Amino acid sequence: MSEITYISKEVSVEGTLDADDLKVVVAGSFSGNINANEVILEEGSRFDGEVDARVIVIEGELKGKVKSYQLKVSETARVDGELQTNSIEVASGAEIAGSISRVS
Amino acid sequence: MSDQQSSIGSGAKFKGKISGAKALEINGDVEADIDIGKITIGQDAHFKGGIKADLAVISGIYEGTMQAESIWLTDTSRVSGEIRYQSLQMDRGAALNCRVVYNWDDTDQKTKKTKPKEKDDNPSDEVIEENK
Repeated sequence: MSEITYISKEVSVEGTLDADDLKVVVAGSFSGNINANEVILEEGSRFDGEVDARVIVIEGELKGKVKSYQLKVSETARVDGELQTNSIEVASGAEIAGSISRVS
Repeated sequence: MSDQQSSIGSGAKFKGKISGAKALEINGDVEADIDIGKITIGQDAHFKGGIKADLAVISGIYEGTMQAESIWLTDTSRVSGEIRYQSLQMDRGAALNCRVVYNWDDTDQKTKKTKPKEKDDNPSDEVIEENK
């Protein structure tokens, strides 16, 4: 329980978060880099920067770079950037601008 | 889920700024300056930086300058730097290696600032000295 990193709605964070094999949930705004096992960017969240995680779920707004083995983009997501992933699932209604490529 | 309080998990490392939070729980390794309502620094946590808070509960390692209305240092806390408080609770076992200031700036700075002014105002200055 205490291993989850959670950034709640009204909170804005700027910086670098290194949570190697842990889970990170962002409901507020985050600007910078996140490195984790699982990252969930909740609906209403804003992310600007780079995310690197095994599993990434995007439900909010994202600008920047994403690198993951498994990526899920929900219908509420708005993504602008570079997506690198081996497996992607995009829900109908999601807005994606940018590039999608495999993890090399 | 949306009402859950913000936290930095155990094992996570964060460096940067956190703002807008009402309450924050830190269990990881954090380097930041934080202005907040309530902050909890857990037993495994290592926090470096400035804290301004209404309430700070410290169980882990803290380095920096902390200013809070209420500070609770639990038995596992280790503090270095400076703490400024209005109300302080310290459990047996808490390790302090720091400057401790009671009632910090507001009152201190006001008296320091107003004292020279009183000296400049000659009439009022005399009255005050007589009263004392």
